[in-house]
Amino acid sequence: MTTAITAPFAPTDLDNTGDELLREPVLVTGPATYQAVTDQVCRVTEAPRAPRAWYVAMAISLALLLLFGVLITYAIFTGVGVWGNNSPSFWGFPIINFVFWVGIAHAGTFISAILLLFRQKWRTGINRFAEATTVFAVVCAGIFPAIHVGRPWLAYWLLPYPNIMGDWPNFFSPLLWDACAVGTYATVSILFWYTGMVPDLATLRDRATGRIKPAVYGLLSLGWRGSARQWHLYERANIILAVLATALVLGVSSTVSTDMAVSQIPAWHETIFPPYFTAGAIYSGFAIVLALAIPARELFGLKDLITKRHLDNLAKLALLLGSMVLYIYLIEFVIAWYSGDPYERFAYLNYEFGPYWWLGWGILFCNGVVAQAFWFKFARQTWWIAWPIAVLCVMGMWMERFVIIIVSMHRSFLPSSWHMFVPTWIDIGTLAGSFGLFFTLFLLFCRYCPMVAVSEVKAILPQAQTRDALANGRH
Amino acid sequence: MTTIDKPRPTIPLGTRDQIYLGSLGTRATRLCLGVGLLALAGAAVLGAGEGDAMRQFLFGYLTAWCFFFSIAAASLFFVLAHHLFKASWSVVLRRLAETLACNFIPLMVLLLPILFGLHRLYPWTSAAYMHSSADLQNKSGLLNEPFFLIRCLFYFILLIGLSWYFRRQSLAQDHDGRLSHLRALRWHSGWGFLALFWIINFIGADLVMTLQPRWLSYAAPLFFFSGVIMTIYAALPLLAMWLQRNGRLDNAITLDHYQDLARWLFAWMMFWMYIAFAQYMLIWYANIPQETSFFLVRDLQPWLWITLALLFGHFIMPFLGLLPRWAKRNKRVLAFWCVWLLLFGYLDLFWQIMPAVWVNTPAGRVALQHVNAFDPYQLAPTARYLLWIPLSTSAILIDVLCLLGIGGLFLAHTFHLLRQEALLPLKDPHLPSSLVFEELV
Repeated sequence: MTTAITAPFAPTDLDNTGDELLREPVLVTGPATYQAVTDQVCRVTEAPRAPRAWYVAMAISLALLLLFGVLITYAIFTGVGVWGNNSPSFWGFPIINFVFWVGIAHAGTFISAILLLFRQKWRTGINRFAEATTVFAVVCAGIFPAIHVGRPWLAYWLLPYPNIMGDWPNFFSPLLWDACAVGTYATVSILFWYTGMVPDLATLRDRATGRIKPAVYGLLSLGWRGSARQWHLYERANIILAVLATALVLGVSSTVSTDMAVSQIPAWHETIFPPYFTAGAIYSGFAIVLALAIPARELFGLKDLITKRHLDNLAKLALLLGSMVLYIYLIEFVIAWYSGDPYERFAYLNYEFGPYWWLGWGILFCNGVVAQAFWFKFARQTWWIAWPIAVLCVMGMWMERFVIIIVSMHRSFLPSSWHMFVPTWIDIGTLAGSFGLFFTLFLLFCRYCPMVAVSEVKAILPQAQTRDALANGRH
Repeated sequence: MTTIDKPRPTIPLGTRDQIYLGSLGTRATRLCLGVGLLALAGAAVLGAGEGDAMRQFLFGYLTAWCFFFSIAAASLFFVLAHHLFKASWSVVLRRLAETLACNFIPLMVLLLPILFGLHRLYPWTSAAYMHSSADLQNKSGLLNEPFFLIRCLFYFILLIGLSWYFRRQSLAQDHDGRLSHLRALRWHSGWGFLALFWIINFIGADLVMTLQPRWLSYAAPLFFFSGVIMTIYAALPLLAMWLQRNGRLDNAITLDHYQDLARWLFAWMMFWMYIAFAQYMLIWYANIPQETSFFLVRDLQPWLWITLALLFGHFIMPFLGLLPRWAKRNKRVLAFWCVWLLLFGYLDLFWQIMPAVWVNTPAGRVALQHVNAFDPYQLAPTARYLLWIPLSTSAILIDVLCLLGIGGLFLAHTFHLLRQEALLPLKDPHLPSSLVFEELV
């Protein structure tokens, strides 16, 4: 008889969200020993069978992934005419999905890098799988521009490289900037994620039984022995990668925003687009981390490591970023009106009262209004309220990409060139398929990798707080 | 569930003289008040002597006012962020920031000359100007005097209310030691933080962007905000160093606190550059006359030199100077960069505001149209002369006196408040951990 992961262990799931004024907040609610932390994380990968829900989710994800592969293959062999892209909405779903997934890819780096630099100890419970969402979202994001070029086998033409024809891409083109920025971001994110996992992979290696698992984890842990020198190098690498990743968090979304902002299309050419896209990206990233953390902690019995306080903090950060996004919506409407430019004004009126009005109001509702529920502690701590809000935020950010890219393009300067955009079933299937890819990777990660950063969580246990606890104020 | 008791080491805070400003505050208040009043009077006299209906004086005054408004608003930002993020390292600096933030009442009084001089500063106050084109008429719903005054009143009610509430609760905790004050401050810091963010942005749009009503940039309010927030991370180390030189807070503020302040200074300087670059690059790329008018003026001599000075002085040089860890931990070096960045913070405002002196004159408007239409670097001699007006010796003297005048009154009020209470929030439960705060990296 096989054992489900959650069977032998009952997490305490204590409420640790109180505003502790005289005590350090508790970040591990269960038995706070090194052994207990290691056991809780490793048992997920060591259990012979995953929970039943994991298999169900995996089956759905694999089906969607299969659909993704089939539809991409069909589009490549048939041509991009199978999509709803038209004139003037040349970009269509592929670029919407690209911008959306790049945005999703931001929270992991933000949580891991920026919160690391700010010495936020609570990040240790969620940083690992937030980083994983980053890596998987970048994979999803990278596929869309590659297929959108129509001849993906020539996608490398986007990059500058010496060639016998002596031609170079246009260095003033944001498409080139995109390729470089997203490529750099993918490299640093993967390095950051993987470097952080090495000590925990070594733990899995040391505990693994049988023949295959020790060999695989041994290979993946790169000969980690836990010597002082290795820890020293590891910490240095982490800090250096965190600094690089912090700059990239600002840089990548800003670069993606220039795809639109360098043009003269009304509602695209806005100087606030770089910080706007960055705020929106981090916001959607937090929302998806929250949406994944709520079921993951339940499913894998990690409630003592990913505690209510973690969810509470994630919700607060989503609220903060959501409010920034709301501010930018307001600024957009006010300045468009202030500009007196009839085209600029029309673009925003078209958002709310044009044929896609339901999307225009939808983004105001999902991104501007819904997240405001997180002002209330009750909403932050009740999973059946917080989870739908997080999902709505993610949906809202996808709709926002649709509104920016399609609604701005389908009615630009000349009414004679106006044209509605209607996605085909292949567009919709490809979008759903990209979620299949994302969730397949994520579920595999949950099952076979250390989902929580064991070594980092141990460092915040009470017994590890010696000089650090006495000396440091929280930031 | 295991918890960790907050460490409560005994910290030698020193004698009462070391945590209270005492007679030093009285002397500083009198000195600053005297300097401030004399300088403002001098600026007004020189301004009247310019024969330009006080235009140069008002522009210099507006720039200086915006600079000290920046410090007060950024101080409030510091206090709100401290409570919102439940920081403890910055407890030893909180009282100084709370006090600097409580300057909105004098700043509101000092705003009066600007309100009385609206007609000389803002061309949108002229009905003839607003009727000169359709796009300006469209803006009259926002750009009219009654609504402008209502907005200013609204901003200041909120700013004064927030700053005084946060200081009053903090002082109350000094007296009764109750934790409920801290809870209330944390609770109100959430909405206060967002409200302050919005207000600073809108004040930037109202006071600076509308100086050139035809110009617009979606990022202009955020650009103003980025410059505003940086100032407190330059001003606080200087105030702390001055206090320590005079025997106050010797044991309380350490090199580790200075290092953290310097890191934040560095981060906000980077953010300023990020917004500045995004705004400039996108405007340059799209090349739309409605937007380029702002940079065309600043791309002409002598303003080009100030634009370049900002690039090097507000970013490249302090970036290199503040990057090493040792520079952030050396008080003399840090003091140099704080003064440097405050000066460039002022220059940034000067660069945003002053070209409007000539842009808004009839001759300036004609010249600007000429610039847009033909070769931007071939200006008529009259227009070329106009460009230099805000940089004449007398104009700069007026600007310096305005800076000293408003600064003197601002600091006099600050010292007046500081001498009334302890320089540290004595009964904050996180004070012990703040006192022993150490940077490990």
